[in-house]
Amino acid sequence: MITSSAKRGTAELAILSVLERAPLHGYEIARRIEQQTQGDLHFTLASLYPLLYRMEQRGWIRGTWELSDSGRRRRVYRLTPLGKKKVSPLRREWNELVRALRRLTKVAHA
Amino acid sequence: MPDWQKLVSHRLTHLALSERERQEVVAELAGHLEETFEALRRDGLPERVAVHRTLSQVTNWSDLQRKIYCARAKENTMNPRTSRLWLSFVTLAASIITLVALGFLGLQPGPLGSRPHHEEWSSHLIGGITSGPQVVNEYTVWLMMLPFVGALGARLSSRAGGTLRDIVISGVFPALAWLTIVLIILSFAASLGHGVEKLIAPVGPVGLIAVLVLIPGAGLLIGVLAYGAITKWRGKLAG
Repeated sequence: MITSSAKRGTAELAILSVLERAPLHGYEIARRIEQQTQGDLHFTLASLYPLLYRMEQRGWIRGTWELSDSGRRRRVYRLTPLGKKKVSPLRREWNELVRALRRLTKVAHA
Repeated sequence: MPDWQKLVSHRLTHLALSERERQEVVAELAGHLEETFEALRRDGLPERVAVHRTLSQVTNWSDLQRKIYCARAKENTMNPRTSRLWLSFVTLAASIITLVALGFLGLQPGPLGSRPHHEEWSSHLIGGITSGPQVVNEYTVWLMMLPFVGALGARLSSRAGGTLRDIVISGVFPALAWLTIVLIILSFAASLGHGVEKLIAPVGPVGLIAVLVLIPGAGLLIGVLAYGAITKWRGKLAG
């Protein structure tokens, strides 16, 4: 069963997936997502931060201020235990959505 | 290169979080813009083009401000539309309560010391304006308090993440409500009976709109503008 949150969860899944590999700051999260999806998924500042703050409010990620090697202060996000638990169900829902859409488009082409 | 910190702080002046939280958001977003700009410059874009491309990351700052507020504020559980509607009625209630409270405090809807007949309400209510500068009545004092009511509406709307339009509407909502009431009264003046025409007679329809809508509306708007000016000034101090 695909819930209505599946579509909304796509962006959240993208963020959780890149954070699963390493803690990152906002700019780097957007850059990695764009790079790894070869530009198919693109986050602007306006689309990224409200989402990050909402995920932080839900307790999925946690941001802490850290000093980079270049001496720049950045807010680095990392997955919380709750966020780690969220990755699998979101991934499963998203896969279901993709499969359903594939079936639908096959019917449409037939 | 623009001062990204200053730019973001200016654009998020009305972000109604605690000052510490607001500064954190400003620093984080400014850092993001700065890194975007630097990457574009490294790619060989001229400064002007890089600035333009960086700023295109946000097309609507008010909307971003509202979304950030909704995402970060723990207490905001209402959806934005419900919140805006509810807050407008809070402002209306505050204006009515103020009027009633002034009556209870001894200020009469007419020249001091006189208690008018109920049916002469409208002419006595506006007595403070028409009877000369020595008269201080409920209406006059109420008018003086309306900027505070307008500022309250603006403050509540701003805290709920309202856009500039929502903030203004929330602040001046009582005047809009009274306009509706006055228009209904004027439309049905003849058929309503109970001396409604007599009530309107001393000032006429235009006077009634001025007294109950335009002048209070101006008072409320002054409050909204004052609130805007204060928060902008506070933002400048903090930025």
